Amino acid sequence: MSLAITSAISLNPSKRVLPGFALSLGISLLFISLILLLPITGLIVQTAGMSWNEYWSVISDPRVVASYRVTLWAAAWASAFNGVVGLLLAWVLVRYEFPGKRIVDALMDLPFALPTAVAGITLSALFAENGWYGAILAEAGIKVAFTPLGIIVAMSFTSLPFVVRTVQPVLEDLAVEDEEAAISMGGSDLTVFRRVIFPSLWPALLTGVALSFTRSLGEFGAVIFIAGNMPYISEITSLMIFVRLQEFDYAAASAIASVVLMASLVLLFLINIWQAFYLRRIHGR
Amino acid sequence: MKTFKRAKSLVAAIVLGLGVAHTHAADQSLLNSSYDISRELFASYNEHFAAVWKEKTGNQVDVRQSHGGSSRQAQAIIEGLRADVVTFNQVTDIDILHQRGKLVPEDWREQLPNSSSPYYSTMAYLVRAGNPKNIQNWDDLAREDVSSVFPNPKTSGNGRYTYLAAYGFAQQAFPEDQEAIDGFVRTFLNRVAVFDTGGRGATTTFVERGIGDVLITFESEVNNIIAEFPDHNFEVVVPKVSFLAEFPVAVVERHAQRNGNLELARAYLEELYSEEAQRLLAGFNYRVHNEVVQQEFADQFPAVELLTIEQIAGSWDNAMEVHFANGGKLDQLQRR
Amino acid sequence: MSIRVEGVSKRFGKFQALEPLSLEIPDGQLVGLLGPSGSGKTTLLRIIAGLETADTGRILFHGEDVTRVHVRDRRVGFVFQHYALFRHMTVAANIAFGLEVMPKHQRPSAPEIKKRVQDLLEMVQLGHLASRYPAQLSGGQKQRVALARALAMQPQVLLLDEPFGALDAKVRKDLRRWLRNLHDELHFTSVFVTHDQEEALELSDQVVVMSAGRIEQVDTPQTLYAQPDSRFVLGFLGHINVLQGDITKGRLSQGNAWISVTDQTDAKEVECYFRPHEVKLQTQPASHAHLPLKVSAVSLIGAEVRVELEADGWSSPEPWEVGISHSEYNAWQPMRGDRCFAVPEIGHLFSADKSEPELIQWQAKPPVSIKSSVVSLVHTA
Repeated sequence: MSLAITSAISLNPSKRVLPGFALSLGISLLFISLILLLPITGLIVQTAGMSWNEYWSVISDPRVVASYRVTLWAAAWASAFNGVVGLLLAWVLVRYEFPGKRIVDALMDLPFALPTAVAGITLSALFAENGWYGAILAEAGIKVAFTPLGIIVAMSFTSLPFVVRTVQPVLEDLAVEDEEAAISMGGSDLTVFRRVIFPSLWPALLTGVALSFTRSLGEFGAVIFIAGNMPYISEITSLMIFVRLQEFDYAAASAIASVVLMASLVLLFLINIWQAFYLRRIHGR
Repeated sequence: MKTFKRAKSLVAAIVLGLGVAHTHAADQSLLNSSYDISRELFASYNEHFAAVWKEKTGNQVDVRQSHGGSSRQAQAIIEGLRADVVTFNQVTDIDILHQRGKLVPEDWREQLPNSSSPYYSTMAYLVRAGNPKNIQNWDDLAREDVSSVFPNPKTSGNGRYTYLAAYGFAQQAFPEDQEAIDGFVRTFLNRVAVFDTGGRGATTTFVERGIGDVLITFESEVNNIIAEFPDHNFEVVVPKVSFLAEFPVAVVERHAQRNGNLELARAYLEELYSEEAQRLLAGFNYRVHNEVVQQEFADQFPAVELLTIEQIAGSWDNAMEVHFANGGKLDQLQRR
Repeated sequence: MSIRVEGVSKRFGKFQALEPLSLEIPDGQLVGLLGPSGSGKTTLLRIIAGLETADTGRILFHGEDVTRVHVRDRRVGFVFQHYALFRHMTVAANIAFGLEVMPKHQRPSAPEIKKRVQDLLEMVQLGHLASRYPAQLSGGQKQRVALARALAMQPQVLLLDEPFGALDAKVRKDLRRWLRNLHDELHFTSVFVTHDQEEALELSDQVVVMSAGRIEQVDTPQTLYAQPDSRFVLGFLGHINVLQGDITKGRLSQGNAWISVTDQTDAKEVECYFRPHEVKLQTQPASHAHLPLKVSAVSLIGAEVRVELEADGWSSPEPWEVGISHSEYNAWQPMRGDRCFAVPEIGHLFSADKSEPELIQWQAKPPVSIKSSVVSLVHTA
């Protein structure tokens, strides 16, 4: 019996755990079409009714442009902050044993589990001048809630897990021997991190930061409660989309959304290309 | 084969069972699509209406509620939510139901008394204990030492009313002087500390976060806050001039007809004008038209000169186009 | 540079990885740490390198205490079992690493580094692969790059942790010979860890046999093999055949098996160990030994034919193994179930109360040639 099975498997090397290639690819493509492509197509269809001039005037409206600036700027800072803090957290979670480590590890996903509106309200409560953090920061003359700084806080909170969760497995796979080899050759801690550890982490870290950035570009719920939403100062692009929707102007909303979508896609695409190039070298493929 | 038959009869039993259960609970059901903060109000009114309807027709009616930002509610109905009636806080959100899909008749404002607005409110101020900045009227809100909180006129009807109230005040204060009017409203907008997207958000910002010297919102909401936060010793200030904020209602005739609820839907809205219902509404701090009830609640509602949309902007359509449309007056006044 | 280990011990949680132990490694020697896994050999190596700190004791390089000296300042070359090459650097960059991270005032100039890397690459015969990435190399090539990298800073001590463990048999042999030559040429002090006794005996000037966190024996391969001084060492260096029994009247006996141990007093629970090549098989018992056996298996692979036998009329904890030459095999052609006698030439006798063995050498009796005995076996068959 077992012999028969073994020979059957060895005779037919294409047998896999998953059903046939055609079927699984078909399901994947169907899924991609229904869940990813169709909504994007919808977006394009919505904007298709506009002339190029209308489209341009919607997306280049000074207030909307100001919101791009605010959003990009805040998302950049938030993702940069997450790059540093997320790397540190992943490092601590992988490299050290301490009581409560599992709880901290589980807490990492909280920003994903929490409804973003709840996150926004909680953050604004904490960072308002009468909140726990806000009171302390106010003494130092720093205002967070209802300023652009608040946008950064909300964005980095909601997108932190992206960095931690992409860097963590790579760190786990990183051989301690590589570090030991580098140290035994006289490398200082900084050199070892910079020249040995970081180059291995770098692709994952960049992916994490990029995901964090793109997620921040689209974040609405958490930001809206802490931003203050002052025109030209702390209005994010998602709010501009929301305003257009409130005005029943779907086409304009879609037009602005298309700008965000395009920016995200271009960024993710570039990173993918760069990464493929970099990883091919490391894995020798 | 046998199992298939059995499965079929099982499905039938379930379907029948559900049907029976449904009809058993209520003879008729109605879907009311309403704005965000009317939950308690309609929970209470629905009880009242069910009793009235039962007495009148002997039928048990089950009124289901859907709450949300009223623009989003309108959107949902346009996209297919089969609500029988709408009870909104913005005229424009019902207008859109006519413009997109003819779901309500064009003259829906003439279907019921008082332009189909069974109750109304106005924009009032909530100030901190003792009114330390001595805020009494709209011109105080343009003072340099005052910072105010109200929702974004771009995303909230509540915010739009506040803008229009300030604008109407400026029209009275600087008659025929457009530059002065614009200058005043621009300053007024500049004094805003935080623009939340909705009324409840603004309330949280003012009450919980301690931002701003004054919160501008519906008079009804202001009174609710006082009741809800007695420790804060907030004070209500009703300005001498303010905006008539209507709470329009309409039967979504297309849907009600299809649902076989036309008569019920009309009765549901008409009953809002009855003395008992008006008393109930006044209890929720809304101003009403019924004179008997007005007398009873005279202490609660100080006299205020109410400006209508027609006085300020000619019509809602006009107001939307001139003031709130993309690149309109509001955008211009907020430009830096 | 000589290495001295003084009273070093190490504990990981509840596990005593190293009992306090001392060791002297003379300058220029190639020393193998041999032992089964868990014997503490790798821990000892890492403590010498400074990658691990000892709980007690001192490490001295050339008489100088380096116990508190950080690994990066000990100037040891360390080679890892899995190479630990930096994947994102070319072969040349890997080798240059140690030179490039030197403090500015010590660091050679860029052209000099380049030249040094080239020389090292030539030395490990990989000059043509300088610009490859590690993923593009074979295992043997990777390990040679790792060696070149470890040697780049001209360390005076080279430490290798199972350097050939991950390679296949053929490559391992080549690389082993190559390392021996390199060592003879460059004359640094090397310590390597292995669990392969053949590797340890072939490569080392001295072998340190370890077990359960202790050093069992330190000797040259020749002495170690000729005079293993404990049961463990004897057992670890290859298969052993055992006769357990009691000594009475100059004979160690059990069941129908016995050997003569003339100058012994009576004793109980004595073991005598025989190595496969120190035993001959005959059709008749010898005058000093009566060890009846029955053939249970024959393995023809290798330089010798390995015959596996079971005790016949007595008991042995493990089957016996005896090596015979292929020509002997051809003449005899043993089959399963064939009976014969073991005739030991040397025995290692362990009494119950002593851990060190006593060597017994029996005078070679008038040679009952295997050939003749085999012939007689054939006759009886």
